[in-house]
Amino acid sequence: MMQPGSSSALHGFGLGLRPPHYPAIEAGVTGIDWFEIISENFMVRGGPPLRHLTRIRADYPMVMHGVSLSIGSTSPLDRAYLGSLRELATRVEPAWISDHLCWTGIAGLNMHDLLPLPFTEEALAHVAARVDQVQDFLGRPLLLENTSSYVAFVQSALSEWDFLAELVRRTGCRLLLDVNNVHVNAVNHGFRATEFIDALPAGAVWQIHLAGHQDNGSHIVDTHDQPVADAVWQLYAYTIARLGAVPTMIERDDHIPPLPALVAELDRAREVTAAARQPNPAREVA
Amino acid sequence: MTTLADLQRQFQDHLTLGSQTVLPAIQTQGELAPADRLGIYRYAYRQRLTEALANDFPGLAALLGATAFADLARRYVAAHPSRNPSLRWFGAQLPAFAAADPLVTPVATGMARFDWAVAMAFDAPDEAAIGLADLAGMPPESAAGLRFTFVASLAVVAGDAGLGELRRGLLRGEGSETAALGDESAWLVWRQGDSVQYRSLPAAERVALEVMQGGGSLGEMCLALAAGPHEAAPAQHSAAQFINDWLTQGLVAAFAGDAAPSTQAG
Repeated sequence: MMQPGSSSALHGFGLGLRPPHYPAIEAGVTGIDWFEIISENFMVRGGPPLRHLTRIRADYPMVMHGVSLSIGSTSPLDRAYLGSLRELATRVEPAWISDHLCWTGIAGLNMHDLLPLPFTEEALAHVAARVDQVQDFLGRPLLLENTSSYVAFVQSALSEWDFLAELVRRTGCRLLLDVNNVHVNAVNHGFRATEFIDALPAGAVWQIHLAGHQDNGSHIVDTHDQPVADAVWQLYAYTIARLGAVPTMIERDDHIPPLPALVAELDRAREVTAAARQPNPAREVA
Repeated sequence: MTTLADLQRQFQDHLTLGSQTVLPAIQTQGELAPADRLGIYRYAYRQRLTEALANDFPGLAALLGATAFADLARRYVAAHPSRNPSLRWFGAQLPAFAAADPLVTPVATGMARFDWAVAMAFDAPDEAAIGLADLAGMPPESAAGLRFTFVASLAVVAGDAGLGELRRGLLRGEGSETAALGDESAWLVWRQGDSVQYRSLPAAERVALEVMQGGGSLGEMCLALAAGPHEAAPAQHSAAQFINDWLTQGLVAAFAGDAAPSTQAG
């Protein structure tokens, strides 16, 4: 098992680094403490992506967030991918590296989606063994993010939060808590979001994602294409009241607005964090 | 009990083939039926890959229009499911797939090749190009032995003579009727700084470039030009113009000369 690293490697409020914002960031912008990059977007040979990365990294701390580790896949770990990840980490020197608790494909194929796992002892043992391998390979703790999902499996015997907590206990991995995904899953699968938050091992949550979603009435789709919803802000306040301040960022992947709009959302996260840490903490959310 | 491996195979078969074998493994929850819940993933799978293709093939997408492009993407996704962790490479086989598809016109096939060359040039390895001044010290008697290494972003794309103008118009939102296509020709695509460049490649220059990309010398390039029916101008004159253009346009990464064996990279 990996020895814990340091959660103090990063503080404050960040954004996902997206190409439309490169000019504004490089021209100088205030209100952003750090950036998260999508690792795969910079596993390229050269050109503008790496030049922008180098320029912006010179001014900001970064974390790396992947989408293709496929930690839950029953196919072997992709050693070439892991090599590219480690190579990129050497260039970026991120505060930490994260990916998702999911699988993305088997038999050599990649679905390019964060596919759900059954919450079973078999899956837990399988994922834990692979987390150990990845952490050994990278030489650092891995952060895993809870994903949004639209199906639950008949054979699941554990709750999602118990699965995550046990995975942390067995591997020493850390958590990237996506508060929007907790809300999405609470609606899609009919549980109380606060029960999820309450069950998390507090010291293991090193980063938080906030994002927008699309409410279709019968279900919610995690779209990252609009501002953070009020229900998610409330759940974020509850989360911070329980966990304390955690480095938090806004994820926006579609209908990307000008940078000031996202900085305004970050400022709201700052206000929520400041208010949630006042003496009158736990507030009830649906 | 379904194993994790079985469950993942069934789930993936649903996404790629529409198989319903995974359906009994899905819980019934709330108002949305298990089949509809699965359908969210199947829709997202095809939509995400189609969007990735549209991003890497903007000229083709504009040329075909949304419906025909989505139909081509659907056939391509079925024939070539992604095997790379990065969507960046998903479209690599689309030009060849389009060329073999009787429903795709030659112009559209040329546009697919053109789009992919632009995408490849965009994030090709970084190299500093050399210029005319870098050859200044080369003795005239060794010029015939001059050889070039070209920048990694350089690509030759076969396509109609009007393809470049057609693509420019399409990306400006103009209709495909705004550019008249010409004879079968070729294009040069490369990156200068952060900007991908392209220009037409005349037949004689294409011959010259192929000789030197294959490791041939300037002297061998002149022989190839003299043997071909490409130019009325003397081969030496054409060769000098080509060398000048390649060096001034940033196509050359390094040179070597038989009489001056030291290689200089910029």
